[in-house]
Amino acid sequence: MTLKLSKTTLKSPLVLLSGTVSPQILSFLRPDSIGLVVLKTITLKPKEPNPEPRMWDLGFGVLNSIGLFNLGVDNFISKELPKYLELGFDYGISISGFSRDEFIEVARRVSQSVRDIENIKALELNFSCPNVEKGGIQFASQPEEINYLTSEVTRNFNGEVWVKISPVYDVLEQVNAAIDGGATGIVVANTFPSTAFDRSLRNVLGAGSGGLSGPALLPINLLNVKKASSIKTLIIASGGVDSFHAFKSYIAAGANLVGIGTALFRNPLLPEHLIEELKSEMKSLNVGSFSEYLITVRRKEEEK
Amino acid sequence: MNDLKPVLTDAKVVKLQGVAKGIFELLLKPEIEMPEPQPFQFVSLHYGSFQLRRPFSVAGFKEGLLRVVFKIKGRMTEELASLRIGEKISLMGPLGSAFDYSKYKRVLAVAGGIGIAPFLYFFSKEVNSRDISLIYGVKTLEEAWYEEIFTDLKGFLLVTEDGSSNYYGYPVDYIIQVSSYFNPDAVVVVGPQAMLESLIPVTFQLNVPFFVSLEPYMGCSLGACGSCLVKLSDGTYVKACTEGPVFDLKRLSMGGVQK
Ligand SMILES: Cc1cc2nc3c(=O)[nH]c(=O)nc-3n(C[C@H](O)[C@H](O)[C@H](O)COP(=O)(O)OP(=O)(O)OC[C@H]3O[C@@H](n4cnc5c(N)ncnc54)[C@H](O)[C@@H]3O)c2cc1C
Ligand SMILES: Cc1cc2nc3c(=O)[nH]c(=O)nc-3n(C[C@H](O)[C@H](O)[C@H](O)COP(=O)(O)O)c2cc1C
Ligand code: FES
Repeated sequence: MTLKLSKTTLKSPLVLLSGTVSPQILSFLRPDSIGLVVLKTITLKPKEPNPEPRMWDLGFGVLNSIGLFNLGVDNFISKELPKYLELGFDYGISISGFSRDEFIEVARRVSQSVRDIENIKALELNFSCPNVEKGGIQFASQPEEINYLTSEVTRNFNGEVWVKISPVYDVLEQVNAAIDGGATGIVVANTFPSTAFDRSLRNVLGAGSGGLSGPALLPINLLNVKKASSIKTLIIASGGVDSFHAFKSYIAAGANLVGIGTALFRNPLLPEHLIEELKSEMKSLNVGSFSEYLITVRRKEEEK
Repeated sequence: MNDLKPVLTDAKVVKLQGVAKGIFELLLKPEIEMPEPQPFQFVSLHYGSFQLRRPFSVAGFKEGLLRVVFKIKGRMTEELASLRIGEKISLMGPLGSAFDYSKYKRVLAVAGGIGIAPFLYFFSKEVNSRDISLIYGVKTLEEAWYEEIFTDLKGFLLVTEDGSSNYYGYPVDYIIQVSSYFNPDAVVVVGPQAMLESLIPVTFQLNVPFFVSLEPYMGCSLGACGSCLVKLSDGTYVKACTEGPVFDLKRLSMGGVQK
């Protein structure tokens, strides 16, 4: 399977989502089955993790408050990235910052060092991060910041630039700001801020709250994908995909590529199963390419 | 990290029985053969309608059968306790790094509660190759059980918090006393967080390496999610699921063993 995007081609419509991948998880998968592996968000300086516990299984979803724990851009480029490149997958690098300058500096360092690496196909901008210059409110809530930073990044990077939006703020405002800034794809969307208490009514996360992922996020982001799809752009769905039905639902709602995150923890082989089902369905529908498949699925959705 | 890639497979319940109050022994036959685990490695299980797998120590591995000993703690362990013979659950393993104890010939094993689980496998593999003494602590006698293999150890002390055995208190309270005649060249401790914290003063009194097995919440057990990050004494972090679960206590910052 090959999928032509505006700046590159991918081998599959499946994207592994930021913060949910490791070399051990990739060892279960074949590079041909995965379009893009988006690595954990990096920032300019190393970032400490949040206090324990950092994760909780709700049964119908998962809460995490890992925070933007990472080694910082320089350590990432020199120590972490080489280990991933050995594995033969295509990658996206997710970046974030706590100020305009930080964001731009991370993008600059990454763009410079990955310029000639063929397996790095995209930068992903994670705007679910507090802007310390604006009193700590998230970049995602400020379309003018999304627009400014996206255009700064796209000026210096030749590959795909994807913007990952937040499910909390206005979808169309975020998407328009990103596209206007030159984004080639929109990831819809990040986790939803939430909390939970255990049986003794203690907060289950050390940080007090975190992001909701997994099946509970699917109906929320399915609607967000539907909203975003009113604008012509590449949409990468994110949230709760753990079955072929979920994959197809996002396609029907307007997604072009589909992300998988939390479900990898329970079943790292899930992407292989989804690709198999997709191939056999394409065969039975007698469609030759993924773009033809998209049209067929969406036509069926409209007929209903 | 263990070089062997873990298998992900369904496994059939061959045996499930209560061994002590709230504690069950589960024997599983993996459908795909599992590579032989090293002592202190673990597996992750999934059963029922949960999003995440749960980590459990390898408590035994013989002729392709995996033994897990678990305590009912919450939702999935409640469901595991009601499994029926022949039912299938999902198994992934072996996970974690092998703990290299090869140079220690006199090992003092200190287990708190269900922390006995990984030692059962360790004893079965090592009882003939090195001298091992066990201090096993539980809340009350009903929560302890006895395994044949304990008789082959060089020493065995059962400590209860309520004094229902001959030794009253916590297992850590007895480390100095037992060491005075057993002379261990390493102490290995597996138990709840509070027990690991109470260990710190003892390490100042005894000049041998202390190893602890950490059990932070593990979301993926495959180094991806970051829920199990542990702080080292140099301020950096490692993932307990891939670099551990066993660590030399000296390598950990106090933060690493604190909640
Ligand atoms: C390396 C390792 C080895 C372990 N070995 C054993 C063993 O041999 N026998 C045994 O009985 N228990 C063992 N545990 C603990 C066991 O994983 C938890 O008791 C179990 O996950 C509880 O699941 P639950 O659904 O019943 O609990 P839940 O209802 O989910 O929560 C109850 C409590 O269990 C703990 N817990 C829940 N999920 C996890 C998780 N994914 N990782 C760690 N802790 C969790 C939390 O502290 C929580 O407060 C081990 C843990 C680790 C990390
Ligand atoms: C443990 C964990 C860590 C995550 N870390 C990041 C991150 O660093 N950057 C980011 O943009 N999204 C992060 N996410 C969000 C995921 O990339 C994804 O958008 C979200 O979990 C929804 O998809 P899912 O339900 O398939 O997991 C993380 C999610 C989880 C569960
Ligand atoms: S449990 Fe996910 S990284 Fe260790």
